[in-house]
Amino acid sequence: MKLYRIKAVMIQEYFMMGRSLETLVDIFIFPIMNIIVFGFISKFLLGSTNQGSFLSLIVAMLFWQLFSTSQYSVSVPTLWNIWAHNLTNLFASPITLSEYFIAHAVSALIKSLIVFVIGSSIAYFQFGFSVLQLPLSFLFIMTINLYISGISIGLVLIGLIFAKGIRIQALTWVVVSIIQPLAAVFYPLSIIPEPFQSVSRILPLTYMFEALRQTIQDGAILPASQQLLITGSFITGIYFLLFLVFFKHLIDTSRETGQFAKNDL
Amino acid sequence: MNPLLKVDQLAKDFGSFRAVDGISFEIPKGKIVGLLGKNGAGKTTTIHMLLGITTPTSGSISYFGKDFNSHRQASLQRINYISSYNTLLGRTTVWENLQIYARLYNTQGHKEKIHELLTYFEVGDMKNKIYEDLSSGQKTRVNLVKSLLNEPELILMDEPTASLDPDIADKTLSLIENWKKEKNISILYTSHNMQEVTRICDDVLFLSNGAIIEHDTPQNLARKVTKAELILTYEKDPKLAFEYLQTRTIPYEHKHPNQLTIQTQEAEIPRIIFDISKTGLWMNDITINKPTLEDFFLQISRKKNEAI
Repeated sequence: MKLYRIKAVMIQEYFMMGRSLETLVDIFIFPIMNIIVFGFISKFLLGSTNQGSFLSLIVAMLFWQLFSTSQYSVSVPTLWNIWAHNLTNLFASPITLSEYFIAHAVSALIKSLIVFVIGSSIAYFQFGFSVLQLPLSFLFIMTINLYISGISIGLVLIGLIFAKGIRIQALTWVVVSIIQPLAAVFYPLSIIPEPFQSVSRILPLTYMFEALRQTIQDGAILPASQQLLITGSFITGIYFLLFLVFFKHLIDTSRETGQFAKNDL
Repeated sequence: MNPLLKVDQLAKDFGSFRAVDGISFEIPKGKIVGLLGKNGAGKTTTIHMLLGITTPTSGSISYFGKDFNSHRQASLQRINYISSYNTLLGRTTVWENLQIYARLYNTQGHKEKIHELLTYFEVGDMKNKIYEDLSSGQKTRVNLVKSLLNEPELILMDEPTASLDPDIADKTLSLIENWKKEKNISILYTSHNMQEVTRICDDVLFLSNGAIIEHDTPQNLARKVTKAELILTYEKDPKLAFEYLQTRTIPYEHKHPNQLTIQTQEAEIPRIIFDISKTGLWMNDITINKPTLEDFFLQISRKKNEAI
């Protein structure tokens, strides 16, 4: 593992992002616009609901953007390299897959934190809500969990693209949209129809967002929220490890079938 | 002395299809080895296995005397790769692209190195241009700069001049030849252009259906084609010359007025010229088209097609 190679991939991402308006829009403009729109909707609904619901909606949107930005930032740079036919050049250099993934994961953390800080500032200055009203430990646990969930999905998507080719590239944008309604991001789990609740229960995000609403309602991390956070963190960790193994399997498969090289031709 | 690259019984199966069939070869220091074959012969698959991006089904690869599988990073640090199929990032500048690779290879004094190479390959004034805005020839030269950033001892070149016009291809080839002379590097070179291969390769491996069917110098391979073409341009009545050719059952064609095209064994040509001159034919011009590597390539390919 060499730091200079990780840094080189991060620089590559920085250069690419700087010249890709669509990526800047995807990573920064869309999430921030979503936060603003959700802020206005929440304000509009404030008259018919309680303060807690208003807060949980906008904070859920902030954390959701943290998750989706992490996932996007890990998977899309690989597509850039494939679209440019640069992947073989890259992996003909001494870079390892671990270094490549770590570079994108660090970059994803930086980008999602930037989005989170900008979004939180808008929430504070425009809508009068400070995320610092939540306990710092809660903020930390939520951030870490959503970030790890995001990069785990990003990792599997890279693996799938390496193994199956760019014909499945649409998944990069679609997966978060499929997860969102099932993960009970903006509403309680009980709102989801019973048959789908079993799917929701295997998603770590469901527990994290349930914990968010519970903590906002309680004003502190009480045992119910604690339990949800522990369960969510545990599932996040398990998924991360499983996805690492799955990623390795996908990469091995793509090298055996020749798809890894074919992606670049 | 260890060869820079040693390939032993390398094979690759894609399902039931055998793309590379137990090939073995070596590349010594300072040599350019050509890898030739028709489309689908297994050239690119071989290169991909040599880079570690496709896993071989069996066989072994060693660079600098060490097994590639267990010394991947160290090997890749000392080799490089260029292909006409692979480009750099289109939207970033030449300078930015090269900086990324210089950092990946941990090139010391990378700014000076990039400048030196860009100047050598006559693309110094392109450094701030967006890569996708360059012409094919300029892109190829920038790719060459990328492939030399780590001062490689061995470069794998997969059809580097494909898609270039003959003038630019010739210039690029000259730059490669000069660089090779100055630095004594080794090259594994795949191309469909036989003139190019004859010009720069010391040895040629001829691949067919994934197997090496010939391994020799380009000149020796060309000599394996024994047929040559003799073209005689004449002034006076060729009747006696025609009779001589018919008597000896030597095939000939009368493609143009006053021009006789004779297909024969290369070794027979002096005797035929001598005999025809004795028939009183007044020859203005004699052209001998000797067999080339391309003729060998066509002969092998057609034989294989007939077999199929």
